[in-house]
Amino acid sequence: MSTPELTVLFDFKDPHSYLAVAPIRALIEAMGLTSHWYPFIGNPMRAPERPDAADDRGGWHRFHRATYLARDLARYAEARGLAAAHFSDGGLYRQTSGEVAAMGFNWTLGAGPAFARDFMDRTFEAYWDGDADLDSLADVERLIRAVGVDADGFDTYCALEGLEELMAQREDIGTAGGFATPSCLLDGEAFVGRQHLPYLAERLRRLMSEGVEA
Amino acid sequence: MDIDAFDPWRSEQPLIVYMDIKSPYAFIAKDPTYAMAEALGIRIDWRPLTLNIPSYLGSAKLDKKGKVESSERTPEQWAKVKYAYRDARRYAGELGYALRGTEKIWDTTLAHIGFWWAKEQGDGVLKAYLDHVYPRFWVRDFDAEDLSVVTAALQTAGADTAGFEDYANGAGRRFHDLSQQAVFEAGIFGVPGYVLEGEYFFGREHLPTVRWMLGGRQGPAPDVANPGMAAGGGWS
Repeated sequence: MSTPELTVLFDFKDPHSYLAVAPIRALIEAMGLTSHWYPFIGNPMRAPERPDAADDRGGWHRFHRATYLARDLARYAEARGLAAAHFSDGGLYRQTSGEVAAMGFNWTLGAGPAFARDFMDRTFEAYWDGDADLDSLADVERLIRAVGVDADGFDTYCALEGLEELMAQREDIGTAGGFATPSCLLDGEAFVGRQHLPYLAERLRRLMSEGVEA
Repeated sequence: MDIDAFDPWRSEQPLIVYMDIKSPYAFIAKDPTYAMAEALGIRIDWRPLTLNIPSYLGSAKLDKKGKVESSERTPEQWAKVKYAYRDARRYAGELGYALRGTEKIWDTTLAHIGFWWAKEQGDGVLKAYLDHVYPRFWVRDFDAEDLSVVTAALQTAGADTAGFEDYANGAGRRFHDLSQQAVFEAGIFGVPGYVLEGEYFFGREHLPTVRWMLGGRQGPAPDVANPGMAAGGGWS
């Protein structure tokens, strides 16, 4: 049977995506999968807001949940040995779209997957440990050039076909069942979050053994 | 049970696990959590946490044909709910359980008062109660709001139910309401919730970390992973 194909959705501003990249790649490499990575723009995280009213149950739920998420991200970044400085200094709540960086990924992909992979790594690190602005043309062009890709014309691309490409990708992703990051899509089935990777590996093993038996 | 002695963070057991009958994720966490405890030779302090789902996911009700009859949910909330059920269903299937979406948002207060009642009568009775209630609730075969149904479940689990009705309408309800308030104010908001060593972990994906902590933190800290039922919580 043909090698299973995995579609991977990520968002540079999504801290869960940052934690998920390495283990997803490890799964892909260990199982010899074909993968297609797409930037998928979601909403930025919101800082915990302590409700004014003691009886605002929904507000307190959101506050507790947001407070917990920050703690959870920091402990797993620490467990993974990731500096992820901005997980702990309020940087989780930067209100950015990440569209320019997403277009930067697509731009570098045009030069080849190895360039896009390098761009992804540098951009995640620059955003979560450095001072990169994912919506800054200058910052993203710098990252493009850092991986050895020509950035001439990137500004025009962003203003015209870059956005169209992102929108078209989003529509295709939605049709394929994608709606959040980080996600792996396998035959239209979405697995949101890296906690599914061991189960996804098991599902792939079953799929591949069925193919062998067939 | 003494509310003055109730502490959301502390227990005589090394691990507190918060569960809600109406949570599909708590349902599929039950067996792997019990398996982990058995493998480690520890007792768990199981506790109910009665979620107020409309407060954060909106409310909805299905008609007899399974169509949405009424809803206060946004499209984004619906997308999350639908995915959550699909996700829980695929894992439930791996555990050998069917899982049907509920027809309404249930009030599991009474079932959780039963939870405390069963717990008072021993670990075995509590496990039997949870093993009876959860699979039935999730195929729409358990009315969690009906006293006779909850009482019958307790009896099936081997519990003595003499006095349960009075308890459910009196001291048990008071204890439930006050303990739930304490849990929520402590910042413990979701299930399954694992509390140990002053830390709260929301979701069964943290079972590898919980196991690592309970096992003495040997080796590198694990990452999140939804557990299977193979040895060590793996999948094969």
